[in-house]
Amino acid sequence: MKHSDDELHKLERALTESYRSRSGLSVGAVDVTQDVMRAIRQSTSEPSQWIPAVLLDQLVWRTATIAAAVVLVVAVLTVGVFEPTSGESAGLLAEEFESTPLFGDY
Amino acid sequence: MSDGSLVTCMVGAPGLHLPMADESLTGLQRASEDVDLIRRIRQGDTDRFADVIRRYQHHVVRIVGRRVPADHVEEIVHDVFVRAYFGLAQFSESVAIDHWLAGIAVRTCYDFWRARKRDELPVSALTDDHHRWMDRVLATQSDDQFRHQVRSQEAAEVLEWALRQLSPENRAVLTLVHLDGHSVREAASLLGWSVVNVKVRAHRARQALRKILSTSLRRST
Repeated sequence: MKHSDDELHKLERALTESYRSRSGLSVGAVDVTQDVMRAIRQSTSEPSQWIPAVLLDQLVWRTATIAAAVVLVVAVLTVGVFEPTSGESAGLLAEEFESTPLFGDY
Repeated sequence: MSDGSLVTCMVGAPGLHLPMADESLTGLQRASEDVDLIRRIRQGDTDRFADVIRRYQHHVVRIVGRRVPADHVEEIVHDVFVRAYFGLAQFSESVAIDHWLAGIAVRTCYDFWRARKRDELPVSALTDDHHRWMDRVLATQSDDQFRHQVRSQEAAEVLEWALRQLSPENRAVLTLVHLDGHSVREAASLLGWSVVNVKVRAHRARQALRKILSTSLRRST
């Protein structure tokens, strides 16, 4: 059975009103003051524990990026310098044939 | 944001007023005190941040309490204030502190659901009681009957079930725009997203929710 838009709208409205009427948990039941202040003091008094972690993270990513770029450049240069051109390879092949004695030459 | 919108920035619909811890202070007094408080903390008086927490934790609990399961509220509120402390350098005095904290709270809840999505926690199916509740809602003839159904536990459970099937992005936008009743611009400001992004998301999220509800209605009949 296909439900009409009105029915869907009615259900949406019920859910929206349910959300708005929800009292949730009592706001007075939560007090994070002590815990937050403890966490903040811990972080600010022991910078050596978290600042190097952040710096190390940055260092790793930067090093990895630079290393990848260097490898790419080296790879491109290696291929560009050492790849023989097609003319050169044909000449070398011809020289090879000419220098090799045939069976009847002995 | 001007001071006049200090209290109303979280109000999008009737019944959504999110009062401060100390309602006796006027908006102007509070804003002036807040600016002074934040300046002192920035100058190194870390202990004064406890005053910020005491003053605004009810405000943050109300926002977080509507967005995450009750057993995670305390942990998320804790994270909100820790983030706020370490984000004080980005705090602009032209923005009301309650609005700034609301943004951090909304984004922390969004991160909570993103982490949940990564863990791929299964969404439990609706029970017969939920399907019967949907049928009862559709059968209501009077406002009284409707309001009675709205207040039932099944209503909250069906909504939570439907929201859990949405992506964290759609959930965040749908909660702000359609459930809390914020404008697209306010939602964008709280989430730190562009207005266009929120507008598109709001439309898609609503369509997704309607599709989920439509499927569950078909099963219930």
